[in-house]
Amino acid sequence: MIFSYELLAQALVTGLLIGGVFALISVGLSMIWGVMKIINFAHGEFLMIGMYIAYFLTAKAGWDPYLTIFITTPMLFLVGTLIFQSTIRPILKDPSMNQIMLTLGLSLILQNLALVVFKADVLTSSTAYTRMNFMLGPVVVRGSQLIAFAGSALTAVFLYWFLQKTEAGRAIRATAQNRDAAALVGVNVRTTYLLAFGIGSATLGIAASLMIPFYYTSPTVGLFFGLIAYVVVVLGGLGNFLGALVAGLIIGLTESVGAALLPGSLARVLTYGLFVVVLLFRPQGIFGGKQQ
Amino acid sequence: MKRNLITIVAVLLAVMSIVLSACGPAATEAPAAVIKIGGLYPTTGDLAKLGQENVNGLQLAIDQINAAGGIKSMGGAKIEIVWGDTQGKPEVGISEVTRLVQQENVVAIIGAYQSGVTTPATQEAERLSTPFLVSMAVSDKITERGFKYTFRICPKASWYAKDQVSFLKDLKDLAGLEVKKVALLHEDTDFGESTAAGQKQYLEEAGMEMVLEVKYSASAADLTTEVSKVKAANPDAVLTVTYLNDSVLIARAREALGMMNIPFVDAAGGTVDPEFIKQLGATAEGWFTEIEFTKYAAGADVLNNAYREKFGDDITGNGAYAYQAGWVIADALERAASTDRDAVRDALAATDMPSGPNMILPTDHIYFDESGQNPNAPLFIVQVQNGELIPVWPAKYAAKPVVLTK
Amino acid sequence: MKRTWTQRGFLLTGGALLIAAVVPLFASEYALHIGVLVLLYAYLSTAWNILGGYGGQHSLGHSLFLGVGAYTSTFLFTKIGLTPWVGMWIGALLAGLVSWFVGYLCFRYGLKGPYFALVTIAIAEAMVSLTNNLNVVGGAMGLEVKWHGNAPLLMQFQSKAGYYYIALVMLVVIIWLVNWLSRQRFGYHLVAVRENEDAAEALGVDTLRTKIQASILSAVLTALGGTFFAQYFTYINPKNVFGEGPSIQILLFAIVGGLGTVWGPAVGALVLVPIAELARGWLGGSFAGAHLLLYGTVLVLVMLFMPKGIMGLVASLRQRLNRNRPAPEEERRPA
Repeated sequence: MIFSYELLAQALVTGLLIGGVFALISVGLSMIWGVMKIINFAHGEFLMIGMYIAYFLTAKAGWDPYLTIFITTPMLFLVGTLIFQSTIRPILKDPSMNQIMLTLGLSLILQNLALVVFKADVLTSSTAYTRMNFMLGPVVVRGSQLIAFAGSALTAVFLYWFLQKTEAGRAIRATAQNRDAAALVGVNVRTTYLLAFGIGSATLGIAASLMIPFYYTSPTVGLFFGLIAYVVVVLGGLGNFLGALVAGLIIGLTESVGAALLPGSLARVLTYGLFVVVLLFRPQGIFGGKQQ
Repeated sequence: MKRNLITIVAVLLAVMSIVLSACGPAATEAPAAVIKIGGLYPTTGDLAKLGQENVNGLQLAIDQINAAGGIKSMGGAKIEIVWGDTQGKPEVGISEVTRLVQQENVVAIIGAYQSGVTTPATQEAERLSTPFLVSMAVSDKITERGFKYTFRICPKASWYAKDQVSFLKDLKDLAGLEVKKVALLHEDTDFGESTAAGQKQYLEEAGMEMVLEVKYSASAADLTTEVSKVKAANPDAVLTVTYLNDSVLIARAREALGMMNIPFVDAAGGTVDPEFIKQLGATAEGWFTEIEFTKYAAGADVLNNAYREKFGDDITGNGAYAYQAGWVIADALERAASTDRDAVRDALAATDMPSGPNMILPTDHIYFDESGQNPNAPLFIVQVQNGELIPVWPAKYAAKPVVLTK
Repeated sequence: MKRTWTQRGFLLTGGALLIAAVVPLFASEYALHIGVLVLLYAYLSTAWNILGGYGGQHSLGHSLFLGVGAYTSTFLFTKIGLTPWVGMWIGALLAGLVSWFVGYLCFRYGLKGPYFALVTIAIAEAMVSLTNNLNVVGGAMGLEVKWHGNAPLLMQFQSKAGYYYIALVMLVVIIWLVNWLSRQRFGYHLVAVRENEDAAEALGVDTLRTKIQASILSAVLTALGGTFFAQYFTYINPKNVFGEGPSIQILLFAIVGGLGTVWGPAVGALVLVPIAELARGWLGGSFAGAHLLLYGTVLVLVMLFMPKGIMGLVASLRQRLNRNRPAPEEERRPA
């Protein structure tokens, strides 16, 4: 058993930084759930689309990876709204199982379409930020991960401001709380749904661009991050924006500290175990108030 | 109402049985003009890229064989490869073996890259009395089950481990580094596990101490923590087993954590992919890995250039062994002069290919021992030096000396 | 109306069975292989349908029970030589216990809908990681069922026909069982729970007990299929029995065929399995990912245009032909 405080410190720092990315990936899913009570099982594949766009702009067109945010975000907004209008809107009133199945089908389609178009190559490019590391005492901080963390935090603050202070944001919150009541006071529920789904998807564009300097792209990259996003969203409380942020950090720390302290590759068991326990005993999430 | 349901099910069942019987075997023996060989690799799923390297290598060999006049003992019959896709799943691999044998009527199958798929797939081929030539799949037990129809030209997993450890031992003479403490870092599927089992065994035999074993899931979001765990154990050298995506994460973490002075020796995993160097650049410098084929070996550049011309990349060990498998099958067909599976099986068992343009492995000759294993499957240790995989071990094939970062 | 197996229906079922029974006499081994896959997935999907279709509790992690069945019998077979014919019942017993525990926890705390679905995924995924790290069952390398030649006592056959008949018997039994159960008190209670749990509770149905019973029954039957899965494919590893792949396949057939119907899962498997197999053969080598693309597209189209599945479509077609007859109870779509 290897243990040292340096290792623990390193695990905490890494876990926190990665947790920030987990949080960013999850807030969109949480918002979509909160507003229209749909679990989008193709969430990870949306991220994959964003990563391909960011990768090609960075590696082939020579863009700065962080500049690609201005392309990936609107592109993902577009992809999200198009898919929502064409496939998800028609089954909004169907049983939740049907919605899960439909989005599962979407994820299969997107994943294998990527395989056909881009082949199975694992793509990664070493950008100017990739090797930017610095020491914090005995602990190494990966510059690109720190930027991703900061970007996640900024996005969260911006989203929070948007939800609290803007007309559209208030409409989203109102619809999330009570659809019919929101409709009664003049909120256009149709538009709000579209907007929420678009924004929920657009956050993945930001995440994709932030991840490019330290992560790879492949057709199956969405599988893992999709699963993490469900765990984070449930832990934070479905539809709970702030909860998702904190839960993202918790999962990042669990995976990282678990990897440092547990033998074998059992850290993943810890993540799922935490997930099951929370679902059983606090299905409203660790920060939720009353059960819905 | 029940009646109608039953009608529908009955009709469907009837249709199914008609379809099924229509899928009957292509009853007559195929005419000698075309000889069908099954090529079975994962062309979708997580490992599709690596599967494709095998596909390319095999295709190149068959194209060359056909261009050179096909199988002469059978009137210049051409070889046709019928491709199967395992999707990286054992049960699909078995389905595909059944399809290739029963439906496509192939004479033999070449495959299947992953041990977890090849193990049951060879069993299925054994059941169907069809020769299965393993071009690449390293789990030891594949040729240790007493099968009659399984042949393997690639090395076993334990040989990778054995050579890694031998190399660590030789590092004292090669670079003045005496390795006493070794850490293992590997992904947690059958590839990593079976190689690590060998590593542990040979480390013990060599009297080196395994100070730590770290396993991770290859889909992990980040491996900085895993690599720091290795750092905390303070080993003299690290043995890794990886795929491409995780090897990239490990290499970056290794650099970030300032561990460039600790040699990392990979077991022909993601590190041998041309993309490893292409994408990592300077970060990849100094890595050691094992490789089954190197373009620096004598005469190897002919094959590498042909491959490069067609597919745009250097050929990898996977591609080279698949290529070799194509020639081994052609050689067996030539001698069998028949598409009878048992005749081909017997011809394969009697294989003895000397070094030459069709036998590109850096060894005297290929043959199969009692178990169907080719004992002459040498491995090289290569090091990333100035963006190239340079052979540094064994001494006979070393193109340049080992360079250790201080 | 529900109970009468008319003479014609009886003849048709018998005829279909007869056809299915004589298929091995003239089909090739590969055709039989597809037949075994159809029967096996029809069986597993029907087992899932008890809890998922009739009970409305959608498990997305049913591979948990497939894996428990497969691993138990294979472990006993490879380590102490116990024949799978016995091992399968021990696996079923274990799966029943696991299911009782999981079911009790989930239903006791009132998990339903997507929450229940997510818990089942998480437990199955945790099992993947756990078995990956459990060396006694082979870790990530899995377990291989040693091939003993033609050994019916060890559930091994030289020809695929042996497997085909076992799978056929399993399917016939489970369809008979589901058909029978759906007309018992238990079946009515289960559908009542699905349609409106509060109302069912108010009417005196012990909903917790009913759900747990359905959960156990479904798990036990799935585990029996797991043993067959291991024997047929002769190799299991954590990902291919506990992973999300088999879970999704199992429920895919039930959904495409029609949830909560006796024949839906079987019809779904009968239609989809051959398509997928043939598509891989035709397109696999040249067009990577085509067959999975097809699965995804079928899933999306079914959800958009015929959410009640094939059986729902059949029912509505028949209704259109025969307007004066009311929609049959059991094809009504679960809420």
